[in-house]
Amino acid sequence: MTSKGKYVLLGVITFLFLFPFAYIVLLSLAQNWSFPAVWPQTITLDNWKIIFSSQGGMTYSLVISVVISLSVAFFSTLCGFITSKFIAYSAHRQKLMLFSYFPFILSPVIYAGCLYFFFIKFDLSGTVVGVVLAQLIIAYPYAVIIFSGFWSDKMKNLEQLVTTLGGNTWQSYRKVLLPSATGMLLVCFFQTYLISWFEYGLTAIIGVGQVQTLTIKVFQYIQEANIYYAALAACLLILPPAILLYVNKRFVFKTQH
Amino acid sequence: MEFFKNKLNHSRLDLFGITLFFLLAVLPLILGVGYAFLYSTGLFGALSDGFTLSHWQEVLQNFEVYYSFGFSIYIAAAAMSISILLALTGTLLFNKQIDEGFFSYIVYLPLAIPGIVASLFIIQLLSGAGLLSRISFQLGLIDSVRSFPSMVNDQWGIGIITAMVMLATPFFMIYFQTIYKSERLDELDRLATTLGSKRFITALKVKVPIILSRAFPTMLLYYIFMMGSYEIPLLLGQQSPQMVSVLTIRKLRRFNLLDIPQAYVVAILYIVIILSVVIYLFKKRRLSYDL
Repeated sequence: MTSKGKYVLLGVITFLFLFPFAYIVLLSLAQNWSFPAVWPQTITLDNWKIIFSSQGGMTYSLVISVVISLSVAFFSTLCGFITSKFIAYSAHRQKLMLFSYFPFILSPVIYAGCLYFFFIKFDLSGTVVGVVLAQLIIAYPYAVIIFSGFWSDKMKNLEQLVTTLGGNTWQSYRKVLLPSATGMLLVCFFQTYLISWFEYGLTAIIGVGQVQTLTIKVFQYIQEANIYYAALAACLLILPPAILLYVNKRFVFKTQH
Repeated sequence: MEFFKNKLNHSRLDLFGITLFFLLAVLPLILGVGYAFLYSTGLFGALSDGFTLSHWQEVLQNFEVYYSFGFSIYIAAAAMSISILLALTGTLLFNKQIDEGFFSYIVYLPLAIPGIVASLFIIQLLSGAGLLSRISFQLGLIDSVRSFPSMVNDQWGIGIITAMVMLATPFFMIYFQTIYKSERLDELDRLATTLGSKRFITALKVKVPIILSRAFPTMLLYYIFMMGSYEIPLLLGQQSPQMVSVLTIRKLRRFNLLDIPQAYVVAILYIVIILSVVIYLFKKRRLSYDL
């Protein structure tokens, strides 16, 4: 392929990658955009005003989504880090890692369907705590998988050195292990945050429509054929992670240690 | 050495870690699968009347389930094949641009799009009143909404496949690029060129096999992930056949209580198939998360 052709193709790909963002934002600003118009008759910020009003519960959805995702990301990262160490140094590492993969690859919604009975039994269905717990069941094993590459002979030797010098477990975590794992902790936090932020099926089953996260809101508006509000909720879903990704793409992919 | 080993093995944090692992990873799996199995065999549930295999017989004699599994396999296979083809071409042509410069940021952006937003976008793009239909109308290619061949809720799952390709292609472009760098494929390319190979032949016989071989476990996991996806086929799929997860939840949420054990039969079948594949993979080669 010629150099010029290559750049034209790169331009086309760039357009295709950016177009969904531009289109969703435009849709959220549109009014009276009916067939066969290719451009909306009115472009206004009126739809966005709903965020600052109590109407529609968009602000509640935004806040509850942030709270759930932060909780899931925090607990998954913290607990995943601690658990992954035990698994990495265990004689049964392979078998235990297998259990980490199961929730990640089984369809979360089918998994939620199988577990729904227990959430009802413990009065957790339809509650924020229940949704956080259900998402943890998916995100926490994923965090264990992410951290599995961190533990090595080098880390083990460093920990032994701390013990030799009189340090305790807490000190070895605080002074050696956590500082060494800062980058990976950030990656894990961001990825588990995204798992929670993007989750729909599991949240719909366990939350029974009462925990209205942004994904639930988008689905609800699509079903009501209110595409402008659906696009607005979609903007709230995609713009924060997109900006974060643009600012620091390191958060998404980690390099193997 | 033994002292250190014991010290490490018996720390309270480690015990806390493994307890959490049992509570959050092992126990839910046992409880979930166990409950679904008991329900599917009539040992549990609202209409429980003792052990029976009638629900299994009903499901296994019903072609809807086979269509559903076949449809899921077809959708995931089509979406994966197209995504991998596009991502491979993109990585081989633009590996330097994916690595640095403006495009290296752009390529990450689609990762911020969840399935539900991709579905909304595809509805707006490919449906009868969607953007492509409107453009076709303005160009005089169609004369009404009905003339446009809707690619949403269609029998071939074009909308579902398009949404999945839209999400998977950038992911695999970035993933293949990390392999491209770690395997030093540029150096291999130069070596092959020095030895007289043409660039296209080098790409086809050296680079592509290395990338695909290294990426195989991740590609397989992603394939399984696509097979089990829910919101995309829920919004963009037809009433029949439905993908496995949509069929399971539809049966689970019906008012007819007799459908619930059948939903758990489908869930158990799906889980057994997926677990068998993963266990086989674990035995064949060590799976490691290398992204």
